[in-house]
Amino acid sequence: MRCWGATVAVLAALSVGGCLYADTINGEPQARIGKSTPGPHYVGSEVTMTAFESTDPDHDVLSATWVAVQCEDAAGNSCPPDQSQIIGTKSDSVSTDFTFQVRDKTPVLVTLTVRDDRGATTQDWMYVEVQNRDPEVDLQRQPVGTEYTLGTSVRVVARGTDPDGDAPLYYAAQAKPPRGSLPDQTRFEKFSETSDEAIWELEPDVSGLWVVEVTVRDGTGADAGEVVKEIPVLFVDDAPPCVTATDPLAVSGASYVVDTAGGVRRFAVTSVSDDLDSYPAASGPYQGEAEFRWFIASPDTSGQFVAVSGNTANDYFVDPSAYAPGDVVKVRVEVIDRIERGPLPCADDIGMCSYTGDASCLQRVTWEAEIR
Amino acid sequence: MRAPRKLIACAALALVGGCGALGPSDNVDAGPPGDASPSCSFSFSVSPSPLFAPVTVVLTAVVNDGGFTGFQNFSWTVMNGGTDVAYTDNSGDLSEITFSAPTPGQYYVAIAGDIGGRSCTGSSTTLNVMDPGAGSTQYRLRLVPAPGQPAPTQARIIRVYGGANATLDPIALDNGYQVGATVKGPGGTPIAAYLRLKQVGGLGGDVETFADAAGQFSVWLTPALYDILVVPVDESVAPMKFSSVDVTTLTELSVAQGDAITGTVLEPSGQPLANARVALRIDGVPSTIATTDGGGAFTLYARTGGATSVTVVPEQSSLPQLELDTSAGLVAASGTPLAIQYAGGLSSRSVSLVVNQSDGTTPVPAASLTWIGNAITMAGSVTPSGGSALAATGRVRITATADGAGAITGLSLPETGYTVLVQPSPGTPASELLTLRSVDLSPGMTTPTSLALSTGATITGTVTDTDNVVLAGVRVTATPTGVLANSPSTAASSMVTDAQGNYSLTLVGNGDYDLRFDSLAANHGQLVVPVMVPAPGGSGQQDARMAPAVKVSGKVTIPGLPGGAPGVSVSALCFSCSGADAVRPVADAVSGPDGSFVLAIPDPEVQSQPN
Repeated sequence: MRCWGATVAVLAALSVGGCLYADTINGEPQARIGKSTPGPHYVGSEVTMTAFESTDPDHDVLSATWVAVQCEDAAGNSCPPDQSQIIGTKSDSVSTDFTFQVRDKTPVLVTLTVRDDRGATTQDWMYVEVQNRDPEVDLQRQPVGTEYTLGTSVRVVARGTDPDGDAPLYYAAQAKPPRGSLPDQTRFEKFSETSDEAIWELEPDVSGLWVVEVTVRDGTGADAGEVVKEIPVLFVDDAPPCVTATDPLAVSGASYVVDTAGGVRRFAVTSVSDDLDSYPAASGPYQGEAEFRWFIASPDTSGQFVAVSGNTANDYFVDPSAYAPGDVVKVRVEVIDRIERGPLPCADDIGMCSYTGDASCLQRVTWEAEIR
Repeated sequence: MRAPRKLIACAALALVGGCGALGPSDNVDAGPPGDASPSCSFSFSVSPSPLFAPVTVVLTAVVNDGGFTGFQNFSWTVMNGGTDVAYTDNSGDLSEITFSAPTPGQYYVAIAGDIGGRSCTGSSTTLNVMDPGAGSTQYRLRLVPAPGQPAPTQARIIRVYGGANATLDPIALDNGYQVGATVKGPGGTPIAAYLRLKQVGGLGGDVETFADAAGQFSVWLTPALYDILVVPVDESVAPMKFSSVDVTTLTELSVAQGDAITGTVLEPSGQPLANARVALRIDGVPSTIATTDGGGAFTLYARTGGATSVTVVPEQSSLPQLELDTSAGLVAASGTPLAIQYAGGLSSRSVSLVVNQSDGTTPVPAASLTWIGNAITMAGSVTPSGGSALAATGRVRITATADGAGAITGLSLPETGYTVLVQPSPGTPASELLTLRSVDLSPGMTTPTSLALSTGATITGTVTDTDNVVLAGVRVTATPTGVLANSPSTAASSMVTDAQGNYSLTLVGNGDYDLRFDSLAANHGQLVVPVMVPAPGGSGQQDARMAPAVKVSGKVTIPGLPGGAPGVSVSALCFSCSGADAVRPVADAVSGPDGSFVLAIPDPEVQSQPN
């Protein structure tokens, strides 16, 4: 109103050919946005702007009105804001600062309207760029452990999160083998994948330190953020199984006496300790039951050990009624490891044998029985 | 007061848990630190016994006040399946409570409390509440301590009720008695020997051990009377049986040479038979084994005086093995020579043939043939000096190996009917399996010129549970029986059922087998099914329905091993079976670090069965 009054007065003075006085013309304020929070800015960041640098040529009292709009169309252009896209407003005649929180990754259009106390207004605007943050990933081995036996399968679980809330997340991984591995002998495959989690299964062919490298991306475009992280998986060689108990006790150099009329005689391994396949079977995700290889030497085989085809159970039965007094029958069992390591380092006539030479950890046991 | 009540409860429950008999390991509260003496303890008795659902169980606190006075405060815990079970205070001071067990299962019960503010040692147990209509089965539990553990092999009888898992009372193995003794032979010289010890009236089965060259042996035994069979390694000293030996005082077993038994063995022609093994068994005790000399004479040593059986095994001869069993009435005696004579009419046949593959034309180098003859009656006789001739039976089991061309030439066999095991040699195609052939070499019958292998027969099947849900992870083991027993190439096979519960085994055609089904996860009871395999080239189906197993939990302790006995082999054996079933466990387990074990025993209520 004051501006209009001044203008009328000037026009009136000019029209009458004289002017006894002249009122001053109100100069417009100069709106200028200053940013008091240094970037970069991310989703969730609080950004403070200031109108402190705004000026008014008349030194009028100024007030500031702020509007922050976060909106971007598919082409990346700022779209007409509606109420839902306004992330902050403020009208204030005292404070020059305005703080808003970034809602998503689109640029924020901040508009400052400065009004002087005579009604003149001007605007300034600024785009606040919002930066993408890389996703984060947590890697774990399942089952939890520090080392794993060759022959087992280990799962690598990647749980991705994105600080910007980006979804879905995309997972990729590769297994870096130790020396000596043959790619076609190793199983490394994705077991499952969701946006939250991806699981791979690694079943390698050689022992040593394997490294699984996982990449998680928060998008598919060139500007997608990604994180790369590694997790070591140490595989150790499968320890040889140990026959820890037999029934009857296997005694080197001793011969049991079995009666021809005494009924069948059972020779059994009653306990095997092993990191993978024990007997009886231990509970565990990769535990199994030990299997066995049986041999028999008898007059029917001319005293030579002959494999009992296909019998992998823990026991073997001898029917003494088929033999005559004085016959010698030898029953031999070897425990089969999940990863076969070749023949035992013992001659055929050695009853008890161990891969390691450890008499307390036998892989071959032999019973001798004399038929009476 | 406490001990008698517990004993009564345990006896009534026949060892299948459920009484308040609590060992030290059941303590749930050790009391205040440093309060070593005196101490108080709370336990409880249970009634009724045994427990059949639905039942109202009465628990009565048994207090050992340890000299403490003051108010007695009782705290009870009753749980079933991890959930608290409500109980009622019968006495007003919680010294006696009742709770309802409407269904079969295991109920955990614990008591704790204090006297005058002094915390007392509590106790707990798991009560087995059984289905009132449940069937039950007795098993013999064989417990074999780990090598080096100070206890002998022992046995317990357990009764397992169907329909619910059960917890055994803690099994406290007796330390027993470590017997250390010496076996001495003639002249008091220590000798090496095999020893078989059987507790008189015991359940544990035989204990076997060996005396070393110094005659010494050491073995853990239950303090009791034992029958001990000693078989010296020295073949000139007769085995000897010692009856009802008190092992707690045993220091020496003296074995005399025995009574000399002499005799001769003559061929059908009356000529001496050399290199024949002659063995006796008198009252179940074997003799030494003699070998006839060039004149057919033998001398062996035995413990005479009882019913005698005789076995003569010719070596490298076409003659059958002669057997005279104890029913013939022979009583061998020193100074009474035995005249053993093969029957004059015993005829033999020279057999020459070729072993071929199943195509009938491709020879099998180094194939072996085991000829198992039908019993030959009147194959010979055994005549004690001054006595009557006793008829002996002939038995043939001869193995011959073919030459590089698959030929067997001039094999002399007694004339009788045979079952022949035709066994492939290494290098024979894997599809060619051991084959059963019947060959009649009786007088007048034609001698075959060839025998062929066959490709075996297939047994397939599907394993399900009693609800017809297929079971993966079941090990199916085919154990040959009958004439196939002991033969290595019988395709005695085992495999684990696939995800569809299927298995397939290739076995010897016409062979007899026991198919044993074992759940690797121990969720189902073992099932054994005898089968006769179809003829070679054929196939048969043998499905199986496996009943859920009853999980029987227990804990083994041995005095001197605090915290339980690890590594003890625990086998559940059929209580009333004979033959292979008596020695084949229905369930096996090994105790863990704390001595605990779990047996998956076939549910007596729901029998597994073949389909």
